Amino acid sequence: MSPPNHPAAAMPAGTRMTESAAAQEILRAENLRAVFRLGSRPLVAVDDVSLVVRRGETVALVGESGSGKSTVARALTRVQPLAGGHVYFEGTDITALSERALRPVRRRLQMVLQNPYASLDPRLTVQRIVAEPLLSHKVVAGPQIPDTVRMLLDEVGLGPEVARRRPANLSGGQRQRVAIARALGLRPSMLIADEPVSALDVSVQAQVVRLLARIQELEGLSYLIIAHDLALVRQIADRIVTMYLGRVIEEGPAAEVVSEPLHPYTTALLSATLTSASGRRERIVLSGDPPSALAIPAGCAFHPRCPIARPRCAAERPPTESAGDRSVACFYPGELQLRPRMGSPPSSTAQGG
Amino acid sequence: MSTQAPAAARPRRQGGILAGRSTRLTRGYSGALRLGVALAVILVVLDVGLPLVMHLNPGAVNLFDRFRSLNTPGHPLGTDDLGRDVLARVVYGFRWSVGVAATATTVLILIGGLAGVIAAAVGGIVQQVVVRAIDLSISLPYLVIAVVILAVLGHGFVPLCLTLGVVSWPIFARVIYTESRSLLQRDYVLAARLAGVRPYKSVLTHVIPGLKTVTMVMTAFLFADMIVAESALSFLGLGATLGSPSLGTMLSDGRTYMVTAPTLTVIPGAAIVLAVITANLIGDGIAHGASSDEGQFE
Amino acid sequence: MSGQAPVALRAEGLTVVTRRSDGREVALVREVNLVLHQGEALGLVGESGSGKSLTALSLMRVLPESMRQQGTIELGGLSLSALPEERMRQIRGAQMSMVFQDPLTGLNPVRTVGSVMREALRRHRRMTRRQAHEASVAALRSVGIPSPQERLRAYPHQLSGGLMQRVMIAMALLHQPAVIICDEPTTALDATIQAQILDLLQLRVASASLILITHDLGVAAQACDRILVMYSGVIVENGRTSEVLDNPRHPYTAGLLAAAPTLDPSRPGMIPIPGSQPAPLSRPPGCAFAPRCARAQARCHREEPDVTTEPSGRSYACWNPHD
Repeated sequence: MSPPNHPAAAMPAGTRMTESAAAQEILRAENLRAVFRLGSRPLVAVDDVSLVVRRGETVALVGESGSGKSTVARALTRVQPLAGGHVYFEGTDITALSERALRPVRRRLQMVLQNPYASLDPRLTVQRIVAEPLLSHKVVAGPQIPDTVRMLLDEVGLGPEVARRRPANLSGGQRQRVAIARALGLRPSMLIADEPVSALDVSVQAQVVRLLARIQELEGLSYLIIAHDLALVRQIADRIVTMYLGRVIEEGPAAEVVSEPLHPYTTALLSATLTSASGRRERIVLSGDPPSALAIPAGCAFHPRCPIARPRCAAERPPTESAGDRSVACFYPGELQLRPRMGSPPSSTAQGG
Repeated sequence: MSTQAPAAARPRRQGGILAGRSTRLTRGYSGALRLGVALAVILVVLDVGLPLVMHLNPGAVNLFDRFRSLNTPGHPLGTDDLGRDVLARVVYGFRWSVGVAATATTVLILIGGLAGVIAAAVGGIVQQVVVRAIDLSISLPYLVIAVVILAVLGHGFVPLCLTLGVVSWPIFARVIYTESRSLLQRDYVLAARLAGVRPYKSVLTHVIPGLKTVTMVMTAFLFADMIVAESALSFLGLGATLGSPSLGTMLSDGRTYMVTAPTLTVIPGAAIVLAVITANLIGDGIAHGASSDEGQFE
Repeated sequence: MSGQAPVALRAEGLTVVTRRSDGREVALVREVNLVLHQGEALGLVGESGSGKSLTALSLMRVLPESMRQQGTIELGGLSLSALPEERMRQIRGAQMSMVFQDPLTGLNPVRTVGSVMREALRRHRRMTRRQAHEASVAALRSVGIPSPQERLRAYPHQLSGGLMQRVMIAMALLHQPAVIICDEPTTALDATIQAQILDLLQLRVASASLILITHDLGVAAQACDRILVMYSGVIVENGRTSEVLDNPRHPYTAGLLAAAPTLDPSRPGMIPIPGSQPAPLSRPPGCAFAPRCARAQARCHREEPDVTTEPSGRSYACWNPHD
């Protein structure tokens, strides 16, 4: 969540992972593949996704619905069965661990779910919700539980009186703080958060984001944040990984990806990201709906909606090319760019193929 | 988060879980529940109290006192074909029927609940087997099975309760299975799993407490079903042993004199209907109250 | 769109009250004054619980039964507040129509898009089945839906969210209403689809007047000429989009702008507003925003602020506004 000045970000271009670099890694996913079955038809939700999160770093996994970003998060936490690939956490291959063997891993790798209205048991008090993982892992002795819970609540900016309440008596922001407190109790080294603020009001979003940043600063946590909002992601992430229809299409330092996107989809997504100042930017409006994951287009999956698609894009799948610490899967990277808009001429509507 | 606005907007629930419960039981609950509970209290008081204040002997045969009408001195509800006091027989018959129904309901709640939760939580082959067993049991007419089992086990309280419980558990098991499955898919169960909470712990903390309402509602309805089923079996002569009066037996006996002495069927019939209505009112009341409570939870 | 255009819709003193189970009455929307000019796109911006959606429902007079409304509503000179329900029904869908956040909730899942549209058409106009079908095809085509014949035979769940929202907009436009109210029309959609729908709204609704209800200042910035900011049931700021966004007067508006994430590296962004919006029953005395407001003075906690109107027409309810 800190400004992107992490040592790992300054790694020489295109080098292979050295020993020390590998030690910097906390999470590594290689060639993940996840398939759902809808009746007899397979739906490839995640295809050949690889990513790395380094210690103390915040990586954002960005995409729209159907991009497979949440499935990746679930696969990394071993809630979603994988059809292929490997997940390494703190150097251990956790891909095939049994649920029992995963318990110590779960302690170190926590997840915060998107909807704090669903992720807290409505029947339990906050006290019991926050205490549940502590008791389960026996990290705190019984008599110390209330004190620990109070401390955790304090850490996320909630008063001790909240402990007695049930989720129904809390606001959305308070609920998400409780969920974060629950995740922090086990002192994890990494937190995966699936759209942690998208269910919250704008003013409360900022509170929760600040909280996550502060916790990271204090405890050196690594974050993988699943999000759809590039503006939000620019502010909180060191690196951005963009997904489209189950594949990673672009990756790089957050500031660079946002200021100079390489993949036309990232450019379009950026253009569609509305902020109070975006009325003054040129807009690229993609035509058509994203195709369903049941019928992923041949070649580049984005080509039917891409404003700069050529015949080649429909025929071949572009390989992922890396340059420096950025990579992109496009034959014509960087070609589609946004220019600041002067005055307010009509937006340019791009026509897809 | 200095302003605890939403909390302040709701009625405060302090003083522990029980205080919360009692407000929830009284507030906003439909008249159905109150009426049902009132009826239940009246019925129980009558059933327990009457034998204390009057001399009631359901087995006393008096062939000189047959077919007395209502309001006969000493026999407020008259006498039957053997001169037995109808009031005494209804009071003890009611006690028998309710006792059988309550025990049978307990048996079926235990078997069905356990089977439902285990099937949902364990999954795999256990789930397959239980679900098949449920489907199979439901597809067979339960009275027929009951008749077969009773023919083997013989008459009496224990065989009757066991039979009723054993043949009706699948209905409850199916409800509990479905409900547990839906609870297991909640995000907070996933959150517990992600926190490394052991599955059985998660079931105890998040699933079983969530089954409380549906169990309460189903208990009331199944109890009503059991009253009817017990009466039906007794009516067929498969239930109560000869000595003990049962509402079903009374119906069956009185049937012969339907025209000459209609009270002999109307009175036990009314008792059955009253018991069933009471149980249904309570079930409805709980269900209604729970659904108006949902807003608090979701 | 300047203030000189004739008024399409005017609401004065709009108040929505609900009675709680304990018999207490609570105002969820208080004294909202709103003027919508012809051809204008008006953004009603606020967080959840601010009363923006209830304001919209009360304009259509379709509040849930547990609530009642006060105040006057005029649609093109016709007073709606006293109109019998029968007449109001003729106005809804024909002269005023509404688009909701989730297109699926408003539609019967077992009826095709075509049958719903035909019924909507024939409710207000005398036409044959065939005419209605043709009008439906034209309506879908006008909102840029490819192969409309096919879509009409589809059931709602068979269409994507973006496509369904187009259908809903087409339906809202069927009778060329004077006013269209869109309640978070793009919130459930992906960013790239949201862009399409906002474009469509701007393009197609040019003939009508639009009230766009949103929690997202970015959406309002994109699509609206004027913005009303609501907080805790009250309008706290009202002005032209550029005025409000570039130079907010009310600290809440300023706070919302600062709390939103920004793509502009020169701006800090995501500066939180402490606390949260009070529930209607626990609204503090004075200005409802005062407990969260860095500019609050003693007076703010005592007296509810008056509405100040500047010569340019923008107004705000604050004792200590930004310059």
